[in-house]
Amino acid sequence: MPGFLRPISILLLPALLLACTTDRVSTEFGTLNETVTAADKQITPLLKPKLEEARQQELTISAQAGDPWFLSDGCRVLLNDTVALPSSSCSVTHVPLGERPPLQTEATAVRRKLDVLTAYVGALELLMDASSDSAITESYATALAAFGDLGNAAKARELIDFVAKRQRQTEQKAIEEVVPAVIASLRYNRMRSVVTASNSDVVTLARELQLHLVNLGLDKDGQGRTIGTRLTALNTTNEAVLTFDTSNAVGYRAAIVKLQAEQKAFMKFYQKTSVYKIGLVAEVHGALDKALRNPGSVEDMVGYLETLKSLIETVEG
Amino acid sequence: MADITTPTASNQFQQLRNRQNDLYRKNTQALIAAAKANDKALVDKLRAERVKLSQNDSSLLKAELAFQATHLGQSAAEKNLVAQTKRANSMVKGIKTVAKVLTSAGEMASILTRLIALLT
Repeated sequence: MPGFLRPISILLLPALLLACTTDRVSTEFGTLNETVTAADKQITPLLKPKLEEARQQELTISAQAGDPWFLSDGCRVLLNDTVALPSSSCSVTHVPLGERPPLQTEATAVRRKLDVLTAYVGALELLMDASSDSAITESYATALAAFGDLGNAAKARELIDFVAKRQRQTEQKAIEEVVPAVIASLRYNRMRSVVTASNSDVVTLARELQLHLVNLGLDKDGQGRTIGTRLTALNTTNEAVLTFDTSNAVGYRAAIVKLQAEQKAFMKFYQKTSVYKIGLVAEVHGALDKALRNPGSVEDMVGYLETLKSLIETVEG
Repeated sequence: MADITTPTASNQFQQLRNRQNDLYRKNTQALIAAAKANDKALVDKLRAERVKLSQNDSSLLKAELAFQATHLGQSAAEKNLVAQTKRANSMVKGIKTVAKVLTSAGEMASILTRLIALLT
């Protein structure tokens, strides 16, 4: 292998390894994204009446406190200007007296926590999206060509040499391969660092959401019973079997049959609930976390800095 | 005020749940062993113990539900996730900035080239 190619190959090797790992991770990530979307889709309509309730309560509190309410400054354009320009910034402004915090209910807490979760997964999704990487390669090639023209026009020897050196690299297909590979490894490292740092928080947040959802009783079965009610019933049946006098075989048999039926029916109901779906989010995030903690990845911070350095070197020369 | 107590209290619930999990695991193992050994007296004792565990589970969940109902402010987990979301987004922004800088540098170079052509 020619000597000048060697440093490029060294750069490429970890990048290619990363590409394989990224494929596996993207499968786990896809599942996470789907799980969060499904949970959000299920909870949002259920939550709507509770959120409206909170809004009405907040309005009452605000009126009782005598908070100032008024049309925003953006509306003046509509009202006073001779040229009636439509303004998107026209809204009703509300200033709570004495910086009174807004009313918080379990429904508003669920909404906020869900938003945090979807924003988090959305950010991971952007991090996985490699579509802007090719923009860098393209703009690099364009910039290189433009600098070449400039160097020739200005008869600037140094600029011509600078560009020629980089164009040689481009001809060797180094840029098209190296730039996206380096960025991919940067993405991968950032994603890993974000996901592994967040796993315990995702688990805690999911737990908090589940508790709120159980309290709100949004998930109901065909007979209008909530998870709490059904869980109590299931536990009672279990305890009945455990305390049953086994010498009474007929009665014991009946209790066992009841437990079997209750458990089966509960799981059928539970798997459709939003509480279960939120639990899945934590589980799937755990799987993604595991995939990213994959043994054999020695470089973390050092590797991150190294790739950052090579990116700067590759792009800036 | 709720924000300060939230993480420690959640941790305490987590610890209690972990303890319950340990007790359940031990009870299950002992029950299987006692049943295999056909030790009816021990089986009954372990069944009774399991009822208590189940009742503890229910009270623990009740307490945790009540706790969560009164802790509606932003939790530590929420704050941390928001911070990590920002970290992920800043990386994406960084990539886009590099592309923009390169494009504008290229554009600037072509303008200069045209100027030089006009002036010479």
